[in-house]
Amino acid sequence: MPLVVFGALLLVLTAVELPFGPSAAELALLGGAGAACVLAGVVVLVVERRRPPPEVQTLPDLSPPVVLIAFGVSALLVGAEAGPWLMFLGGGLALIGIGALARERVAERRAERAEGERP
Amino acid sequence: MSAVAAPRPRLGLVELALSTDHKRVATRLLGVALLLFLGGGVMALVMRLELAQPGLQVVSTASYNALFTMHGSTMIYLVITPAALALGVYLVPLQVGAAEIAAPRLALGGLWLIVLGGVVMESGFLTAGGPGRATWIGVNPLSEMVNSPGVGMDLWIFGVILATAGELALGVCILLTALRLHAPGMTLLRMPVFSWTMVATALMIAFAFPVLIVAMLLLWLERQYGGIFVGEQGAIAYQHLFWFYGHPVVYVMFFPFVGAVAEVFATFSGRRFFGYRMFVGSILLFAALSMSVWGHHMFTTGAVENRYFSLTTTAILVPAGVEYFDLLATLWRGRIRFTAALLFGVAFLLQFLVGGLSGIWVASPPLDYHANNSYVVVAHFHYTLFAGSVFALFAGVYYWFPKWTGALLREGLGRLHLLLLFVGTNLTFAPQFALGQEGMTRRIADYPRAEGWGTLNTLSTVGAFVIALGVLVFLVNVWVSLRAPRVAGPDPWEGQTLEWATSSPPPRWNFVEALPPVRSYAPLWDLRHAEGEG
Repeated sequence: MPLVVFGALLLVLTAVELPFGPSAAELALLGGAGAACVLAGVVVLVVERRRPPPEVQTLPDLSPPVVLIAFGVSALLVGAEAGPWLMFLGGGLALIGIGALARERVAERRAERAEGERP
Repeated sequence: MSAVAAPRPRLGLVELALSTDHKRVATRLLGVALLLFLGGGVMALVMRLELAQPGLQVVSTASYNALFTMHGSTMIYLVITPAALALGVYLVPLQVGAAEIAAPRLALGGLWLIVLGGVVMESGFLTAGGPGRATWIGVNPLSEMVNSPGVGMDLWIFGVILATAGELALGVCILLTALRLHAPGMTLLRMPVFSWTMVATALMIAFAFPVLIVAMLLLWLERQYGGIFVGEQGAIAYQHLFWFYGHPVVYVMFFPFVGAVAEVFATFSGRRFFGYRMFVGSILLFAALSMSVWGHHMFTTGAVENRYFSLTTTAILVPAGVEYFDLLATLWRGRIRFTAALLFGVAFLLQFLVGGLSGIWVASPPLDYHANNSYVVVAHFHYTLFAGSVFALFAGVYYWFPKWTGALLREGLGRLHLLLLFVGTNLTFAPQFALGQEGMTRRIADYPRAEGWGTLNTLSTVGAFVIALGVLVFLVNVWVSLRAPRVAGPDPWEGQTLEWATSSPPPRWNFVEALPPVRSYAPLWDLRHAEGEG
C-alpha cells in the first residue's frame, strides 16, 4: 500500500507542475517515477495475496555464488575500460555464479518442501 | 538486564565474506562505511590545510580538484548512504519481528557491490592521471574526455554505478521486509517510527537511484564515443538525470537518522513517540516532495521552471515542521535521561535547523542566484549532512551499539566526543556562511590575500582538526568498550520496540522466545505499562 500511496503522491505533484509549462524531461522523470511506483505497488499487492512469505528458514548461512556474481559483474564493467580479457573473466565468473546460485535455490526449495511435509 | 547473550564464535574470513545473515551484512557495511569515513575525513583535512591561508602550500590545484571530488563522492556514495542503509538492514527485520531480511542474498550482493564500487572508485588514486576531478556530480561537460582525460574519471563512473546498484539492492530488501515480513499483529500502522523512515528512504532509492545508473552509463558512452550530451541541451539533460537522483539522496542521508533520533527521544524521555500518524503521513509526503524539487539545483541555468521548483522546495517546510514538532513534543514533560545518545539527538535537532533554514533561503531563486556556487552552499549542506545526519547517526550508534555488540559504550567518552564534535563542527562550518556571503566561491584551492578571508579560513581549518579529535575519541570509545565490555543485556535502555525483546546481540534467526503481543508501534512500552497497571 505505501508504494501505491507514494506513487499517487508523485503523480499529483506531476499534475501540479502542468500549469507551469514544464519540459518533457521534467514530466517524464517525475511522472515516470510515479507511474512505475504505482505499478510496483500493484505487483507487490498481487504477489502478497498469491504467495505468503515462507515460514520455514532454509536459507544457507553462506552464499558464495552471490559474491561470485558481484565480482563478475564488477569485472565485466571495469573490463570495458581495462580490456576484453577482464570482460571475459568477469562474464565467466558471473555465469559460474548464476549456475551455482540456481543449484543453491533448488536445494533450498527441496529443503523447504521437506520441512513442510514433516508432521 | 539479567539475560546475557552467549558469546558468538569468532568469525573466519569466509564467514565474514559470505554470510547471508542480515546482521552480519549490516555490520560489515557499517565497518566499511566507517573506514571510508576516515579516508574521506583525511581528504577534508588536507583541503582545509590548503585553504587555511592564501597561496598554494600543500597541494596543487589539480590535486585539490581531485580531493574535493573524491571527498564528496566518498562521503555521499560510500559513507553516509551506506551507513543509513546499514542501520535499516540491521534493524528493520528486528523491529517488525521478522526472522530474516527479505531477499537476503540480494542484501549480501548489495554489500559486495558497494565494497567493489568503493575499491574501483578509490583505485583512481593509483592511476597516472589521478582519480576523477569533475566534482561529486560528475558535471557535464567538465566530465567529458576532453576536459577530464584519463582512466581515473572512468573508474569514478564505474564506482558510482556499482555502489548505486548495491544501494538499490539493499533498499529493495528493506522495503520488501517492511511490507511483507511482519510478525503477527505488526500492521503497517504499528511499525516503529524508525522502520517507517526506512520505508520512505527505500521508496526514494527504488525510484530515483536507477536514474543515476542510467546517467552514469550515458556519461561513460559520451566519454568514449560522444554524441550523447551534445551542446547546451546535452549539459541540461545530464543535470536533469543527475539531480533527479541528487536531491532525493540528500533525504536518503537524512530520514533514517531522523528515525533514529525519534526512537532515542521516545526511549530517553520515557514516553511514546508523539504524533505517530502525523509523522508517518508527513514522512511519505516529505519523500514525495523531495523527488519533485531537483530543479532547484538548476535555478541559475534558466532551463527549468523556477516557480514550480521553488514552490515544492518551500513546501517541504510543512512535513519538516511536523517532524520537528513531533520530536520536540516527545521530549516535552518527559522523564528525560541525558545519555550521550539523547545529547547527540538534541545537537542534531539544533544544528539541522541551521542547515534546514539556510536551505529555505536558497529555495528562493533570487537568493539562490546570489548564493549559487559560493561557500554559503558549502556551509548549508555541511550543516545538513554533517551537523545533521552524522550527529544523528552517532545518536543511533550510542543507542543501538549495545544491541549490536552486547556491550555499552562509555558515557563519559561519549560526552567528550559530543563536545569536541559540536565545537569543531560549528567552528568549521559557521565561518563558511560569512565567507560565502563575502564572495568566496567553492571549489577553489587558493584565494587572493587582499580579500581578507585568511582569518575565517584559519578558524574553519582549526575546527576541522577539532572534529578529527572528536572522531578519534569515538574510536577510542569503541575500542575500550569492546576490549573491556560492560555487558548490556537485552534491554539496557527500557526500549519500546521489538529489537529490545531479544538478546544482545540477537541470535541467527533474531528471536528465540515468543514475541510480545503487538498492539501499537511501541509494544514493549505497552507491555511495561500493562504490567505496571496490573
